[in-house]
Amino acid sequence: MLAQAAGLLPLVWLAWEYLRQPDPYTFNRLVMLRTGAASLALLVASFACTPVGRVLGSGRPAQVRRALGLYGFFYAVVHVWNYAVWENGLDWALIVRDLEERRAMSVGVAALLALLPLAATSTRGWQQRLGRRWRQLHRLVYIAVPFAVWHFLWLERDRLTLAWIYAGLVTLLLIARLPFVRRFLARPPAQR
Amino acid sequence: MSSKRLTRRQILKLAALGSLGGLAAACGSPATPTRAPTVPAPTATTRPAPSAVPTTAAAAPTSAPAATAAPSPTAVPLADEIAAAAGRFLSNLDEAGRAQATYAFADPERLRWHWTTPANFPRHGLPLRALTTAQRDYALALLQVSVSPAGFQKALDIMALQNDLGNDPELYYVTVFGEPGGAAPWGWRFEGHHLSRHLTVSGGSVAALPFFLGAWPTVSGAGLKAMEREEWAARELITALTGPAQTAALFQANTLTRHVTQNQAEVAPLESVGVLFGDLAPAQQALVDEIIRTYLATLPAALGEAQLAKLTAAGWENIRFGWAGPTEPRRPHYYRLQGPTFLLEHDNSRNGGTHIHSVWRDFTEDFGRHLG
Ligand code: HEM
Repeated sequence: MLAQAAGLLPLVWLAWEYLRQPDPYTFNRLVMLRTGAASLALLVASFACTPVGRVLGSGRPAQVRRALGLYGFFYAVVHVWNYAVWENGLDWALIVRDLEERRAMSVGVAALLALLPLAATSTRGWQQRLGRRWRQLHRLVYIAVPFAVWHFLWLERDRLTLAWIYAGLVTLLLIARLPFVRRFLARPPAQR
Repeated sequence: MSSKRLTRRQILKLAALGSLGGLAAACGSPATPTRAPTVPAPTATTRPAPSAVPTTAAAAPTSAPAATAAPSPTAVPLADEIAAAAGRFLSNLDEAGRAQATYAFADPERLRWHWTTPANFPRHGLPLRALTTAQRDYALALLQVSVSPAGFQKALDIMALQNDLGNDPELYYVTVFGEPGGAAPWGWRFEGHHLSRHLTVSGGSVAALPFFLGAWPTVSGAGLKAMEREEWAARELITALTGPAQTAALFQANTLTRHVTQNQAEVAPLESVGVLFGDLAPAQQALVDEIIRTYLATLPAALGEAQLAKLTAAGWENIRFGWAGPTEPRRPHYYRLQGPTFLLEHDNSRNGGTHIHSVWRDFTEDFGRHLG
């Protein structure tokens, strides 16, 4: 329920912004920014589920991991759709120029490509079919999430506070996955 | 150091204070400015105030008046005014700041320029961000005397747009080349995202080319349109054309992906594309005239007039207007105006036709090459 609310909130937000600012250009830019922001927030939240569950000693965060991740992927797709179709009219020359000029774009593409197999194999059926290989495949999240943050960091902006906060958070979440840290976090609080 | 973030209104206020402070300092009396600041009123939703360059004649003349009829670009007072403002700026810096802001005139840095963000192309010089309020006022006062009121307003608008982009509106760098006011040539540059202005002074003559103006978004969240006529006059022109004139003008169905001359130090004429000025109806010629004057109106009046005279001498009829890409608003497009002496490239191919890069180049006068 919480995951559904978190996943749908950006859509409600965009609808509200559209009502406030129906100018197509401004709205188009807002879609670009808001979907990027929503995608990153949801992907990072999904990425945080396992360590947070471990710290809390609760299985509930793991239950929402998939939903958060899929919503994050959905917004990434809308983000790129908005970019390629609405903004650049699928003019490949323009897109290639952008990839050449703005290094953040290639990093964003890498993040999206890494997410594709994760989203495609997110169902229980695929999980069972792939068995151990499913776990291995889903290690791609270690590329997707850091690359998404890297994309944000490299947008050539002067103000990067939020991007650095994400970078710090994701670094912590990566550290939390190191075997000895994981063991430490997994211990019941009393023994820590 | 100031960590304060400036809004457009604050930039305007600072500029007004700057001109007051600068002038007062020049008069030796901080309390009694000799003239009112010339900062124009904010133009949040409309185009900047009309230019200092005359905007008479619906259609530009096709017969060239003698070049000598134009005011000389060697207007001594302007050179002196700029030198004095540069001197005030430098003398109010500390030793380290002065060293950071100054390069030798012959240094290759003078010709190294760009329009992108400093994050993408590091700038050298002193950014407004690193200056105290008083120093920043002197920097803006220097800019103010080096462009027209319309040019100054446009600079402030472009700087203010950075707020919409998550950029720092104070990351504009002042770089001085050589010694202001000395016998030897000297120059200075004001540059940051979407704004690049180059001044060269030699023997009392001033050159203010090339210059780059850009705007993204073309309409800000607050409704600011920093380069409205530069975009719309050209669109009105291309959509007014019919038949062979339109076929000639629309030289490519898709937009170019970027302006051709990029950040070259020296440019030669590009491929001759588009419709000739002489083949346009008077109302269409008036739009070409408007675009040209809108750009040149950002130069100090005497320099803008000199450019117009030069362009007239070379023949308006030899100017071509070419457009690439869709003609509807908010679709990626590019246009070019080229005459025997100058090139204007206006690229709006980014972000769905809402992101302008434009550059005015002169085949002989860029960076004051003609000043010797
Ligand atoms: C998982 C994939 C991606 C994520 C999580 C993501 C995330 C983001 C974020 C957080 C922002 C900044 C939003 C803000 O400032 O509020 C952004 C901006 C942007 N992203 Fe992405 N992005 C992804 C992939 C891509 C791809 C593949 C492209 C295109 C090739 C792209 C193009 C852009 C553009 C054009 C902007 C606007 C940048 C600007 O202001 O100049 N993104 N993205």
